[in-house]
Amino acid sequence: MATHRWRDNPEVIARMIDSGSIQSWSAKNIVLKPNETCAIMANGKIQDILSETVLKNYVGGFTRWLGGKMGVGSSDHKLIFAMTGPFDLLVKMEGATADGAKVNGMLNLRLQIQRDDVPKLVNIFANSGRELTRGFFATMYGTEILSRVVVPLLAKQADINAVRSADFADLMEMGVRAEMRGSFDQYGITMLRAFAVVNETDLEKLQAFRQQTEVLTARADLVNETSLAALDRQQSLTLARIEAEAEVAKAKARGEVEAALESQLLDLRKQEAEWAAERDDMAARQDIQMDGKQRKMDIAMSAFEQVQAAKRERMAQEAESNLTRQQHTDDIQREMMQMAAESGALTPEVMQTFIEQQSAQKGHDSKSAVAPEQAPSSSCPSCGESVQIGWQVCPHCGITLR
Amino acid sequence: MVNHPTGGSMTIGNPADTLTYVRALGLIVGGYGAYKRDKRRETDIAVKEEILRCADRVRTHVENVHDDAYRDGNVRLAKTCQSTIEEIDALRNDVNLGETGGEHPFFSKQTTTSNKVLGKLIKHDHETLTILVKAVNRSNDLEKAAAEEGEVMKAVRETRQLVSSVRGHFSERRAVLKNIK
Repeated sequence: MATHRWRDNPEVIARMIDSGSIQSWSAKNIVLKPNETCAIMANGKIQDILSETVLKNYVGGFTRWLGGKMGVGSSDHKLIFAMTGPFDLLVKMEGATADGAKVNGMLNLRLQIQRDDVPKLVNIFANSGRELTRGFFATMYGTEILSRVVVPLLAKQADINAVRSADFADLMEMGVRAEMRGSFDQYGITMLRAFAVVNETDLEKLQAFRQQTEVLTARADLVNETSLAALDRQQSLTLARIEAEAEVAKAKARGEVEAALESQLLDLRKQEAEWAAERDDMAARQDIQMDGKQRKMDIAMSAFEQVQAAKRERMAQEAESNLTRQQHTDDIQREMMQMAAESGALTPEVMQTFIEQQSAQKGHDSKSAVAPEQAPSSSCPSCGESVQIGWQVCPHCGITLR
Repeated sequence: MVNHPTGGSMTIGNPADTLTYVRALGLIVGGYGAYKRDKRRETDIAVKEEILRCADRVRTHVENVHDDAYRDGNVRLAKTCQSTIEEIDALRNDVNLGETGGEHPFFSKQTTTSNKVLGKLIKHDHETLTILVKAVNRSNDLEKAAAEEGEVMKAVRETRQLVSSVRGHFSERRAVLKNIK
């Protein structure tokens, strides 16, 4: 079964239709939801108010049309449909506060059409079209609300801050409820809520601009500070990185130097060890050589001592023989002198001859005694040092001389 | 003999008997059908409409007091009246959008309904309407007190409390209906 839809736009709040105006081949049902009400008006009387029901075969259909033509049924049959749920209206709000500041905004009204009040809408249909929308109600009540409620209330407010207070909101709702009650009741409308939405005033816009400027400035300052802080951090990080790299390079270089030094030290130690070994070897060699030289020296010295001892012995023997010979000579000369004296032959000439002979003798003795001392020297064939003739061993290098 | 909330008196023969409540409801709700088999839906709608009508009466009284308080500059009283009006609107909304049932006795899936459960529903409706009638009377006293400059604030708060009680009590109706199987 086809259904007649009385409302195809959410802006529509109520509508009055002539049931005969719905023309269709088959009859249509009308379904009324819980928030929909239909007041049936026939022959100028309110017959019934229905809700939450289905009006079966109530409108349209060929037989109903035919009956209408034949004059069967009600000659005047109207249906008033209305939404019984709450609906919001926005009414423009203008006025000025006590300090002269202009206030603009919107007044939000939440209204409702009660089920039993739907027939009262006839009062509206009598003066307007057959479709009532939100815009229609806003226009119908806007001027009245503005003049009876909004402007007087705004004029009592000291400034825009008072308009934005909770007290003003309460007063606005009370004012609308009290002042508009009669007008609403006249058309079967119940007011549920009312509140004002006030736009920004010029002063508030200026304050908002100033606030925005301050916020932007503060934000710019903050951004700058943050950027500078970031740069500082970056700079410090870069410096720290450079320092760290330098330290690493130093450490690396130090490590290389230490390695080089260690290498050098190792070389030096090696060299030193070699040198020590060589030195020890040389010392050992020198010791050996020294021992050999000493031994040769000792041998040479002992040989020299032997030579010297032999020389001293020879010289002692020669001196003793000279003394013995001198003693003998003296004895002889003394005997001769005694004999010459006894014979009376001791003259000065004899004495002089005697002294000359004695001096010659002594001179010969001293020559023979000095001669070994000044013996001719020679050089060693090995070391080239001077050695005296007669030495058997060289005192410098210890080799045996021939 | 007991006094009825709406005034007057009635005779209660047996407290457990549903007939007592049916009679009492009959005094309040015109054409009360006591959920007879062929009048259950009508009875349900009649009870709801009676609640709505009583709520409207309370609302009208409170609105009168509210308007006077607003014009007298008594914002405190006007605010209290406003909250009472809001409570009444909430009650109306609850009742308007409450369950009404289908073409069958209560709900289409329900097959049987015992007299005991029906009696419980009748008793519940009676209690709801009794409280609501109290609220109506109190709102009437409220307006009278406002005219005589009596204890208006106390009266409006008591009215609001009674309306809230009706709202809460009506919400239990759904639970009672759910027990009907």
